Parts: sequence; C-alpha cells; structure tokens
Amino acid sequence: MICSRRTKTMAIGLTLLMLGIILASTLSQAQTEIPLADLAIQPGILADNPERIKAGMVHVDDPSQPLSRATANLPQVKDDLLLNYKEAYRVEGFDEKRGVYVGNYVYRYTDASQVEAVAQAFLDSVTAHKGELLSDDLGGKQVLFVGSAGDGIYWHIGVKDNVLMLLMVNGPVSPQTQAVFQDLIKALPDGILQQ
Amino acid sequence: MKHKHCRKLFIFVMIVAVLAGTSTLSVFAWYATVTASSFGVHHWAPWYEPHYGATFAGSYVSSITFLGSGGNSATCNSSAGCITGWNWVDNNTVLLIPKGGWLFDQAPWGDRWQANKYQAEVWIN
Repeated sequence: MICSRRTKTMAIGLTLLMLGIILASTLSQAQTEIPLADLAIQPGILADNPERIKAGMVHVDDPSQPLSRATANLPQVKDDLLLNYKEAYRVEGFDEKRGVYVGNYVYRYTDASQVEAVAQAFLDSVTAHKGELLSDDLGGKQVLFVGSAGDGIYWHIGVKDNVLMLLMVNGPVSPQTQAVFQDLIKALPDGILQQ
Repeated sequence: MKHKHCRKLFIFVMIVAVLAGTSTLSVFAWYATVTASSFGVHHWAPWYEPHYGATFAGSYVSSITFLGSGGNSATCNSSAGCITGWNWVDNNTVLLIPKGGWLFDQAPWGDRWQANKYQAEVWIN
C-alpha cells in the first residue's frame, strides 16, 4: 500500500515530536540529578593533601567497593536490586587527622523504593551478624560491626530519594572512634542527606 | 638459485623479527625495586567488612620489605605471620595486609597504613 504524502508528513512529524519529548524528559532528569560527587564527603575533610584520598566513580565489578558483583554472599534483594544501581561514587582513604580509615560509597538507583529495600537489606544483614544498632538519627541508621581483628566497623546507612549513602569508619572500638564517626556523618554535604 | 635467495631473505627477516621482539621486551619490561603505589580497601568479606591491600606497579618478584618502625621482624606478630609469607593477589600486584596483629595492633595513624612503607622488587611490563 502506498502512503499519501500527507500521511508520510504526519508520520515524520509525530516521530519527531516523540523524540523531542523523550529528549526533553531525559535532559530534565539529568538536570535535576545532583552529581554523586557533590553528595559525598569532600576529600579535603579527610586529608590535608586530597591526592592521598581515592575519589571517583566506581563500577559494579570493582571489588574494592562493597556493592560489587565480585563480593561474595551479598544479601538477596528482590529482582537483584542490590547491584542494579545506575551509578556509584566512592571517596576512600586514611584520615590522618582522626586516625581512622574512611570509606564513603554513594549509589544512585532508579527510584526511592529500590533504595529503601537495599538499605533495609544492608541493615538486616549487619544486625543479623552481631551488628549493633547504635542510633537512627543524623539522617539514617548507624550500626557497629566488630571485625575479624576486633576492629570497629561503623556504618551509617542513609537514604535520600533514589540515593543510598553508605559511610564507613574503620578503627578501634572506642568512644573516640564513635565520636569521629558521628562528626564525619555531620560533615556530609548539608541538606543532601540530613533529614 | 632464486629459491635460495628467497630462503636467505626469509631467514634474515626472521632474525630481524626476533631481535625486534627481544628489543621491545627490554624496552618495555624491567625489574625494579619500588614502594607500593597505593593503599586501600581491596575487597569485602563479609560484604560489610573491609580488607586492605598495598598495590604495586608490577608483579611481585622478591624482597618484600616493611620500611616502617621495626622493619620486617615487626610484621611477624601478624595473623598472617611474617611479611614474606603474606598473600599476593591480582597477578601478584597486590599485597594483602593483615588486620589482626598488624593494622589494628597499634594506633592506626602509624606507618603500617602507608603505601610507601611497603617495598618490593617487581617485574614491570
């Protein structure tokens, strides 16, 4: 069947209109999403020389970040949500001033319900393995897990919209380390994860 | 006669190719004594517990040395024994640093957390 010229013009017009809508929607979404680097702790807070701090986007296959495909025995979350994030950012290094090792991992998922499910799975997993719930203020939940060397692994698990914020402080189990941990949570960018 | 010339030319080309290959190897690969280029989390086990590693610019060959306080003998109280027996992973480019009896055996602001305190002879290519 041969289409008339008018039909062809309408088809092209409709296609262009749809492409325009898709493009506008994508651009609008991209513009409203804050870069993950702006949500993470700033390297200058951890070290006078920020070059000593690792900072940058990380891939799902990178074993040096916790939500990695390479990490064994990750908890099961429906539909493999845990690793199904859109992008991830990491700031990590030895905090010379405070004498602890700090890891800040920020993950952006498609929607808020995914983040809630992942955060809950994280929390359940730690508390099921003798993790101690310390508090649930400062815009998230804080847990302490005692590591294999008797070291303290302090976790802050925060959720804001479609972003999961994980902040880890590894140091001796002590009130001093816990105070450092709380100070670092407060040092996260203002207004982003503090609810 | 023509066939003989071809054979000679082929052998000449082969010799040049081998020499070029050897030369390339000698230019782009070498042994060096270096300190680790970075220190950080290597992996998670379980997924909420970090384990650390010192990353080198090449594959470990020999002479791993701790340049910090107490030298190699100080490492022997670690849960993995002395430093010469610690595990190398990722094609022998990362030295796993034990937490027990080492990283958390002293205040963590010590030199045990610094990449430039771990030195080894490595093969760089």
